[in-house]
Amino acid sequence: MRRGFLLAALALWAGFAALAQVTLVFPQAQVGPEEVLRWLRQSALPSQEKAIWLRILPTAFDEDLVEPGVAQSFLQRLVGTPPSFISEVTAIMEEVIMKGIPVGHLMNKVSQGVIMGRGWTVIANEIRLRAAVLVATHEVLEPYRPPAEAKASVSVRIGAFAVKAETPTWEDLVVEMAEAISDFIVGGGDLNDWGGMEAFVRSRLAQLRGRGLSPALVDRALEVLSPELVGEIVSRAFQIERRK
Amino acid sequence: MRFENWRDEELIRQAIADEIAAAEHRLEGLEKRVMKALATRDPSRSPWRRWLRSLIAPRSPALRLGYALAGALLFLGLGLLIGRFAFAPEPLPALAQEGTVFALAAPGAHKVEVVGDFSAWKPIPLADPDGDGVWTLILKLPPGRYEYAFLVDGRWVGQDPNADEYVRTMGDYTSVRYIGGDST
Repeated sequence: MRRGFLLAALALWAGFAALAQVTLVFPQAQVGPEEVLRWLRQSALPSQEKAIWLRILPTAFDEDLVEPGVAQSFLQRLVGTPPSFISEVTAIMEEVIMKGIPVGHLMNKVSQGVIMGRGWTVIANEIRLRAAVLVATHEVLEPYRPPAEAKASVSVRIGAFAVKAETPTWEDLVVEMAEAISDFIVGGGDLNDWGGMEAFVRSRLAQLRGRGLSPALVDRALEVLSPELVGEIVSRAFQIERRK
Repeated sequence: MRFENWRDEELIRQAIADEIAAAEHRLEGLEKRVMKALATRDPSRSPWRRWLRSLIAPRSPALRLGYALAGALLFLGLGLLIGRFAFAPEPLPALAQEGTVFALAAPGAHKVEVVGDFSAWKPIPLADPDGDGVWTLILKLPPGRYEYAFLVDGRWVGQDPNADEYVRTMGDYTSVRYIGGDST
């Protein structure tokens, strides 16, 4: 009797010791555009906003402006938030998508704000600011856009998630530059310190050279980058803000 | 009465004696025959089989339950060990070379997760297999810039000592890693 329990305890210990060394991963199926749209149709989003998303999301997926997984995560978090917040965030995203600008990072910012437990006003303000800077950066950099771009993509699994790694494009560079300007402003940088802002953006782009952005793209951006260019982006962004 | 009993006993004894005498020839070599029959019916004559049989047919029902439990758990443990060491696709050091290590010292924490733009800010759990308070996770990330933070028992920890830089967003810090090139 005693020998049996001793053996049982020993085996239990061995089992747990072995289990502790193994990382068990339960992969989820990669979310496809159709799955997101199907989910959206059945979601509890207000009907008006739901109609907007059902109209703009297929375009966003077709033009690679957002990953289906990122969109679904964002929309799932949007459900149950105040109607005014849903309405405002939807309007911002619609404007950006209709201009053909990637919105994945803006959706991610909403998700980040929710998981940080921030208030809806704080999140909406942040998204409004970043969207304004993004649209302005897109417009100001448009004349410098290189001719045709070849694009390829590969999907990489990260545990239960899938990330699409693509050949970086001009729009990716636009997003990174806009995000750097927004980070400078949100981090407490002076709006009128164009020199400081330009140095911050330059440093960020240099970090991304060969790591997310191709050296050719970064070199082209660094050529045209100047305090005046950054100033033009900021001025345009805040004119957009004032118009709203 | 006593006389009659005595007569009866005598008759019985005589009858038994007659029966035994009649069957006496059948008792010759009985012991040998019995042993031979037992030997042919019991195949487990080897020490290994006798030991195995003693395990299967223990002395009490409670002991049998204990052995069954021990066997099941031993089976589970061996399976896990074999799975861990024989079928692991690659050893951990090799994974660390290819992936990005997220590590955080959080002694006493019950749950540590990482959230970031690589997972659409959905939590991915870290593990502390040896219970030393250092929680780790290895992710294979494509080259790029990633913002992330740890959630220690649900509490936001935005400044990872291993981060390349920090950004301030919505009133709190977020860590940043550059993946690819020289820094992975």
